[in-house]
Amino acid sequence: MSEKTIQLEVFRYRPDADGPGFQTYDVPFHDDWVVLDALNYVKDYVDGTLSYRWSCRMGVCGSCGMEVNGEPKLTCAAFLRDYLPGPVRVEPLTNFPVERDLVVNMDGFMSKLDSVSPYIVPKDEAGGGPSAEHLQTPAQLDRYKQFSMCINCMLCYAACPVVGRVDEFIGPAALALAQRYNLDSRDDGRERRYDVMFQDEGVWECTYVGECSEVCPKHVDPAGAIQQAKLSGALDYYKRMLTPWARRS
Amino acid sequence: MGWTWWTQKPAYVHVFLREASAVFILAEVVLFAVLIHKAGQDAETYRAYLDFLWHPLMVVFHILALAFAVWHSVTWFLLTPSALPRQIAGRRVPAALVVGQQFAGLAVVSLLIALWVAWVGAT
Ligand code: FES
Repeated sequence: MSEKTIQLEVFRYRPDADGPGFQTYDVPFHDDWVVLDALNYVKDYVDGTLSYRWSCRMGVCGSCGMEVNGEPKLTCAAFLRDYLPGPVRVEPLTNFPVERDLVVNMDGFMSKLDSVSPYIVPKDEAGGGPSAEHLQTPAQLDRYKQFSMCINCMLCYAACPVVGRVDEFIGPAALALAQRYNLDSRDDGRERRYDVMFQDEGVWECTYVGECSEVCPKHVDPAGAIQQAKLSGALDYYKRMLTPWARRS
Repeated sequence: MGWTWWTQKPAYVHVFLREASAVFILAEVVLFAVLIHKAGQDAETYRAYLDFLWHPLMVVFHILALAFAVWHSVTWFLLTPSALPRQIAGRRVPAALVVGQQFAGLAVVSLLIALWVAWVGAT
């Protein structure tokens, strides 16, 4: 009996060769294979020139994000069996410049991420100082825990129509992370993140389409984080207006 | 992404329809404002305007506007739990409670208006 196969239609772009296009490959079908397994099969046995990113193979590193039949997916978590009888179209993530084949350029994303100070800014001496022990209750942890599960896979940027239309939009993952640190009881970086989060290209650019939360493989709900940030940003604005003499770090 | 971006995915279409509901709701508000204005004029003008509002094409428009308004409210109510902080006064608020309260509020307000209209009609 001949082996069951499934067809992959893979986006190809090599800057040194002709323009972009699709290449089809027939790969063996196995019930427990994911799209990434199929790509690895192509790379190992059919066409070694195919380029794509991956690492952990278990939905942790966030590097294998691609468009599978037009939906942003972690290819290590997208089973071939869900796309029967095929073909399965694999493309680089939308809204990012393509570097080569399925590899996108993440520089823009990285600098957006960097711009929100995505780390705990230690409290000053008045708040106990950076070397003090800052205890956190389970309830305090619960306020931000969901938003801290992000693996930077960028699927949310590919799903967001605003990201596609406004280059400068800080975007779902970075804003959700900013909100995550703002909600952390040990953090003192709210003021530092204020200008980036609440500029026009920050949270206010979001129109709550909600697709970022739909595609998120870690159920971070960046759309929810952004709406919550809008609420706290608006409250902050009035607080600033009413108490202009208050301390701003 | 061109101007047809919103047709690319069903989810985008849903959001677009929610945003587009504003046009229908604005139109209904204008029609209502004109109705109030006409009510202050003579009976003839008022009746003529009522006839216009009851024209079959206008009735189709009202039904369409109602459908858009319902779509907007329902999809928006369902979105609110994730837009609100996880906790209020240190306690987690169940999503069903947030959504349920809004539907209950809508039902109560609608009922009060219906009763009021019935009461005004009866007197
Ligand atoms: S390979 Fe690491 S998330 Fe898919």
